[in-house]
Amino acid sequence: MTSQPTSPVPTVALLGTICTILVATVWVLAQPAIQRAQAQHLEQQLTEVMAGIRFDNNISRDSIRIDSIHGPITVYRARQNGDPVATIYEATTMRGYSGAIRLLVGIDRDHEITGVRILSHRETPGLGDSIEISKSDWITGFNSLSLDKLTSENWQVKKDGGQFDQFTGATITPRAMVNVVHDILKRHRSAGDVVFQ
Amino acid sequence: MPNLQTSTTANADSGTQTSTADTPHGLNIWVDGLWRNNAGTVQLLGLCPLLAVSNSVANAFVLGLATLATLLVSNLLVSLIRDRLQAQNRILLYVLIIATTVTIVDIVLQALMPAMHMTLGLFIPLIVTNCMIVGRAEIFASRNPMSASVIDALATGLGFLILLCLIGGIREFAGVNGLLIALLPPGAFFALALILVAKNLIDK
Repeated sequence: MTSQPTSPVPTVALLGTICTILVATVWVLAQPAIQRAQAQHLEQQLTEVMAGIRFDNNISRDSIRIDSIHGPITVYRARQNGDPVATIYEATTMRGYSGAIRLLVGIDRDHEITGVRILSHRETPGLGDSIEISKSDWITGFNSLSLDKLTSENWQVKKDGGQFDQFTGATITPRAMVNVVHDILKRHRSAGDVVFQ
Repeated sequence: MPNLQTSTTANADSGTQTSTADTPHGLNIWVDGLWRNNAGTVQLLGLCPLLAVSNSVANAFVLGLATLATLLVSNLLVSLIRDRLQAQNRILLYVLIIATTVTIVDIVLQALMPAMHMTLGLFIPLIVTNCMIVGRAEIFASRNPMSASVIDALATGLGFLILLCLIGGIREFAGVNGLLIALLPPGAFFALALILVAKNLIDK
């Protein structure tokens, strides 16, 4: 008969508490640096999305929040001499393969896409992460598209009858991207000039 | 022939042994970790990050460093509480310690090197699944004093880090000089295979 061991619960509970406190502390301490890095990343992606458009305002400080089917989204406005030249939507889709994909969609005065860029995602490395511009130029396939240039049926991945390539072994990620960009274009059309207030 | 004497499967121990008579000597630990029982070339552990992240020396180095840091903290803490380990809570405690360490490493990396953090992406959290960390905790740290466990962590971690950078160097050099397959997954397998052949030849 084995000797009665002491319960494992106190050790696990104690260690669990210590670990939780440790992680929480590090997280709080790291927030300033992380926020700064994220703000910098946002600026950089905003600039990339605005490639080819002339503007003179500080886009990241010129934004409003509007509602959409994806929840409240932030809309950045680009202006030249006070006149609106483009809007950039910061959207989130939960229909990716893993967690939220946050992205920027730039739309000019002709309702055409100036560019789409990923802010953050957790898609599979080597498969879904081809939506990143650093991994492949797939995302440039959205450039200068609009609701007029492409019918609803064509706003799908090829597998679903549309014109956008899916990735070998990863359909869910590009499909989520095509859907959210399409939704943003429709939201932009219904928003009208409200976005420039 | 790989040294399979040090098995990595969890033993059904009913308790821990902390007899210092069994503790390996410092130099032995180093030789084991770096060469005789190298995590990547002999134990063949941690192959997922080894093959996926070794496409550049920079990525390989950072991931190797993160893995080394995790190993150090893990071995240290497991060795510290080795007298409180029991059959029922052993694995749970290892995972708790390793997961906490990796989470902290992930947060710190995100704060200090945001670009690298974005590049490595999910491979930092995946360090938790690296068998060699739980392996060293179970085989070594749970039965040996802190000083030896720290050396073991350093030796194993450095062995892995050097291997990572070596493969990274081979792939990056070959890729930059025209051999594109080196930068793709097959290149990683080939590079590791070549290193295994070389190591076995040297061992003869």
